[in-house]
Parts: sequence; C-alpha cells; structure tokens
Amino acid sequence: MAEAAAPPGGRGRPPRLAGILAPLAVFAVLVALMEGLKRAGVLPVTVPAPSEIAAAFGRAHGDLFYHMAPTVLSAAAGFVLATLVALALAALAVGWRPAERPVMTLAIVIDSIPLIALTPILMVWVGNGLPARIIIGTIAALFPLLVGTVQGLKAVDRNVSELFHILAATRWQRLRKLAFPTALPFLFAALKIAAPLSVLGALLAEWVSADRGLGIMMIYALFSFDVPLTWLTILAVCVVATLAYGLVALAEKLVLGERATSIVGGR
Amino acid sequence: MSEIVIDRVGKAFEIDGKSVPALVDVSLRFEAGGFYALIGPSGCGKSTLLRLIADILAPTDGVITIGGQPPGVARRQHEIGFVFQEASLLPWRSVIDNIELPLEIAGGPVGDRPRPESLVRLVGLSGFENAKPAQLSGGMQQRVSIARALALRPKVLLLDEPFGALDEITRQRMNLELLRIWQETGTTAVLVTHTIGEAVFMADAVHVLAARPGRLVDTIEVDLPRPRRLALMQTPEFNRLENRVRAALFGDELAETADG
Repeated sequence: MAEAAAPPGGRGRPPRLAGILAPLAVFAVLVALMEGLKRAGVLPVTVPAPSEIAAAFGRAHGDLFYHMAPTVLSAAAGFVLATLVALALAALAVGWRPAERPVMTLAIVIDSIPLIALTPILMVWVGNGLPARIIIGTIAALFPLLVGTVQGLKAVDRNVSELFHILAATRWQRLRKLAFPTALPFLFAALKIAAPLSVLGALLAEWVSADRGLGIMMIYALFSFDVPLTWLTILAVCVVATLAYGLVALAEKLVLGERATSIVGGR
Repeated sequence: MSEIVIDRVGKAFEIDGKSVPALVDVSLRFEAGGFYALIGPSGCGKSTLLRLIADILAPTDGVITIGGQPPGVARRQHEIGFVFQEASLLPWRSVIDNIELPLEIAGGPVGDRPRPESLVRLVGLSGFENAKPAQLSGGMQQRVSIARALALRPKVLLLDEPFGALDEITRQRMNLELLRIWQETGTTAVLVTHTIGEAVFMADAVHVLAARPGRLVDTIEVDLPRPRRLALMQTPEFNRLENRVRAALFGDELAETADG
C-alpha cells in the first residue's frame, strides 16, 4: 500500500451538549426579556407575557391537543401525498425528456396560485372536510419537492452514467441503483423545506373552514380577543412545524448516515 | 481475449448545426490478449475512439468489431470493462459493494467469474472492503474502479487515462500493478494516455494520433521483453522507443528546435 489513507470509520464528533444548550439559553433569555418588558408595560396589549401564554396552556391544553390532532393528520397526509406526487412527476420529467418543460411549467403555475384564494374555491369543489385540507397541504409542499427531486435525479455523474450504459443496465436498474441514490440528499433537503410548508398549508385550509384544527382554534381565539390563547395556538403551530422538520432531519441521518452532513460541510 | 478491429472508422460531432470531424479514417487492429496504447495531444480523438469501441458512441463511418461482433453485442454480453480518468465510484457504496455493482446489474456471479473478494485482493485493497470511497486516497479509489472493471471478467479492458490524476510515483506503481493484473487476466487492454514513457512502458504497440481532425499518424511497435520492470526505463532501447514516439507526436517541430 503506497498511498496514504484515512482509517475506515471516519473521525469522531465533538460533544453535542453545547449544540443543544446554546439555543436553549438564547430561548430562555428571550422569554425572560419578553416577560420583563411586558411587566414594565412596554409591550402593546396584543403581545402577552410568556407567563400569560403558560396560563392559557394550563386552562386550554385539552382543547389545544384536541385541535392539534387533525392539523397534524392533514399536514402529514398532505406531506406524504406531495412526496409521492413529486417523485412520480420528477421521474416522468427526467425519464422522458419532452415531459420536463410541461411538468415544470405546470408546477410553477400551481405554485404561484395564491393558496388563500384557491382554498375557498377548492372547498366548493370537494367540500370542507379532510380531503380539501390534505389537498392544500399537498399543494403547499409540492413545488420544493419537485424541484429538489428533479435536480437530484439529474445530478448523476456522466462517467457513472456511461458505466451503466456499458454494463447494459435496464432503465429500472439505472433508476434504482444510480439516479435515486444520487437524488436522495437533494430529496431530503427538499423534504426539510416541505415539511413545515405542509403544516402551514393545513393551517391555512383550517382558517378558511373547518370544525376542528389549530387553524380554527386560532380564528376563534382571535375573534374572542383572547390574546394569550391566540399566541398559544401560534406557538403550537411553530412546535408542530419544527417537529416535522426535526423528524425529516432525523430520517435523513438514519438513511444517509455520513452523507447527511455533506451539505453543511466535512464528510 | 478478443481481437478488436477498427476498419476505416470516422466520427463527426454536430456542433451548432455544423458537422465537426473528431476522427477521420482510423484503421487499427488490437490482437487478442495484447496491450496497446493510444497517445496524442488533447482533441486528437483518443477518448472518442475508446468510447466508440465501448459502444458509448456510434461511428459515423466505418466498422468496429470485437471478437468478430459489433461492439453493441460485446457490450450486452458484458465483455467490455472500462476505467475512467476519475474513479467514478458510487459514494454511498463500500469498496466491496462498488466492485459488486457489475455483478448485480448482470445478475449475480456467473460461471468462472472472479469473486469480489478475490478482486479486492488482486488490486491490493484487502482490509478496506468496507471503507467508503471518500475514505480512500485517489490511487486507492482508482484501484477499486479497476477491480470493478474486471468484475465481469471482460475480454476487453479499456482505460481512459486512468492514472492521469495521480502523482508520478503513484502512477508508476499503479502501472506495474496494472501490467501484473493484465497478465493474470489475459484481457485485451487499450490504454489512452498522454505520457510518452507510460505508453512505451506498458504497450506492445503505441499508436500515435494527431489533432484537428483526429487521425492516426504512426504506430511504434514495442518489442521490449515482459514482464516489464522499472529498470527498463533507464535502458537506451527504451529511450530510443520514447524518442520515436516523440518524433511522431511533434514531427517537424522537433527538427526545427534541434537545428536552432
């Protein structure tokens, strides 16, 4: 063995404790600052003290979780549906050259329709039940997923592509053993953008019409001038969206392993 | 172990609606089990010629046969191994899984095909089976790609400047190993290179190409004994052959500087 090589196994990671404590400390300082400012009477009436939001959670947490469940359900269903549609459309756009332009153009048009206007129209067509909310969640998440997947499928190395040709690989082998694994890091980057978007899409649909959901709870709280409760629902949406992102990031770590961090740096 | 015959082959590319010749009227014969080098300046079409043999490109004129059959047939029968200038490994696969890729695509180990483990040993990577490409040096990555090219026991091994990105010392060692591997497998090898010494050291015959348009200008038979050893490079006979290749590459240019 003439050439030097790194030992198999990769390098060790620095301790992660600091990575968790630092954002927590920042968050704690912000909460304390907000509490202090509110008590000093600096903040307007539309901004509650953190303690008031905590009190709202104390009296309404039953309602909160009751309304959170359908939001999570329609967001998750919309997210999964958007992923499947994006994968199918991307495979079509990349696998069949003439399809790429129409598919991408259609995606841009759909993405540029204001969802706030589309939602009521959609509810006239399919009713104001779960299907409408899932569809809005899907549309909200679709575009970044499609762009990411198309870009990923096209990121195949030219030489490796020639190699698959020399090996007389079938289209299916090429997709499964080359294009899809190549696209995975791109797909996960898109999934991380799309996950919070489908939560916001579901929320928006509930705003327009729903009998249950964080969106409708938010509207009720707003119209009854319950400022702490409004903020509680906002906070709940943030938590759901952040958890959605976190779950995707976790899945990325599990699926890609060392490749997962390649976008941030290192290997 | 297949003879390759290239008969009056030409290749033109369409660039901006115009037909630009990359190769014109090339006729060559690579005998079964031989080692051949293609050398020439960039733009002489040597990589294009290799891709024509591998059925990655189709010739505009002329005919190529591998063991009497069109390259497309040889390719579909998995008789062609190809090593690129970059190792071109799949980064998500380990060393052994990269070497196994051709077996997976062709449908598992068949007949007398070598087992991936023995290929790992053949290219000197024992102990690195489960390493990922990113953990290997450039030379080691290229060893993996050579093992991958040999996985289906190809009758023809095509090498497109395989060690061009490596340093001189590593390249010499890799060349010696490549010769050993070639002799063990008995495949017909065609090496594209831009290093005169490498071409003479490796090949039974060096084919010199010129650019614009790409064409064959000379063939230098190398009748040096095998197995080749590094000491051979210091002999007058080796230098004489190198100078013949140099003369074919530079032609009148070389004569002018000698006069002045």
